[in-house]
Amino acid sequence: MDELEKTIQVTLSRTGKFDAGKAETLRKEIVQMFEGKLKKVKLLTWAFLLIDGIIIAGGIIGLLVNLLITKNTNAMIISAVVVLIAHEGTVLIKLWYWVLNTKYGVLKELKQLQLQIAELKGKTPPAEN
Amino acid sequence: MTTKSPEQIYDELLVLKSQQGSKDAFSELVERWQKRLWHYALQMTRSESAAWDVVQETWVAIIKGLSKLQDATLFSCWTFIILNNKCADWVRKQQLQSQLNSRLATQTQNYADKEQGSNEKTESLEAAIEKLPTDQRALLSLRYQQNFDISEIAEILAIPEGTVKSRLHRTLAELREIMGANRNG
Repeated sequence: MDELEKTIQVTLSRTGKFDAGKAETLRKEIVQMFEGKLKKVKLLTWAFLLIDGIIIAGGIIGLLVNLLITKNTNAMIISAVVVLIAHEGTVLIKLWYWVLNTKYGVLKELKQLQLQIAELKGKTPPAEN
Repeated sequence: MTTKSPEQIYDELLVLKSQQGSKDAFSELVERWQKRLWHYALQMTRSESAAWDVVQETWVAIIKGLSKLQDATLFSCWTFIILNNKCADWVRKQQLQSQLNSRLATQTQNYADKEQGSNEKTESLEAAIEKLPTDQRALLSLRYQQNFDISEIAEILAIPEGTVKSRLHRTLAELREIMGANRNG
């Protein structure tokens, strides 16, 4: 890096007065927004699971009614398919959550390891030769 | 393979934690990145208040897209791509407005913070940088303020690496010329 490039670095770092108070207010707003989004996702997931649960319960009741009382084969098949689809929906959403969580967990561990290596590298004095 | 600093790795860790839904990690991430983003936005918009607006818009976009980010190592580039686009939008909007109302141009805030005791060299350089077009200022800021390498800058600005190199070379040559002229004059 030549002299001009160093001067550019110094000059650019001097420009503007960073308002720490404003930054703090903005940070709080943004974190609130982030929290809001998390809540929304959580709510949607629970709503999906609840609706799925109701469909499964309804399907099972329909299946039992058709099996024990009306003995209607077509309605029984339809109820069974509905129960299966709804059940698969619940299984898939749980599987997706589990896969995602495991992926982030493994990546986090890797990053922590990388971080420790990088920190140790910084602490280790250069070899004398 | 380029070696990463512990700070970079820690940022990536914070991104992963945020993707997993940690509010504290996201808050720390915002705190660590706010200043960098603001300085770049300031270089592009030349207005402190506009820089804050642009940074806020960038964070909103980050919140929306964070879960879709596949690789945490790409966070810095991805963030600067968003910021660069937001700044470009702002500049475009300003240009449009100033075309409609020429008086607006005079209201542009002077962003330079004139510190006491600063030497002549940096002051004249500051003035020279201010005269540069937005794309060249962006290039200088990304290279010398944000310390991105050529390939990252190319990705952020969506131009080939060769173009980044030649533009950077041209910008430095222009600055050298301006500085030389100032010294002689």
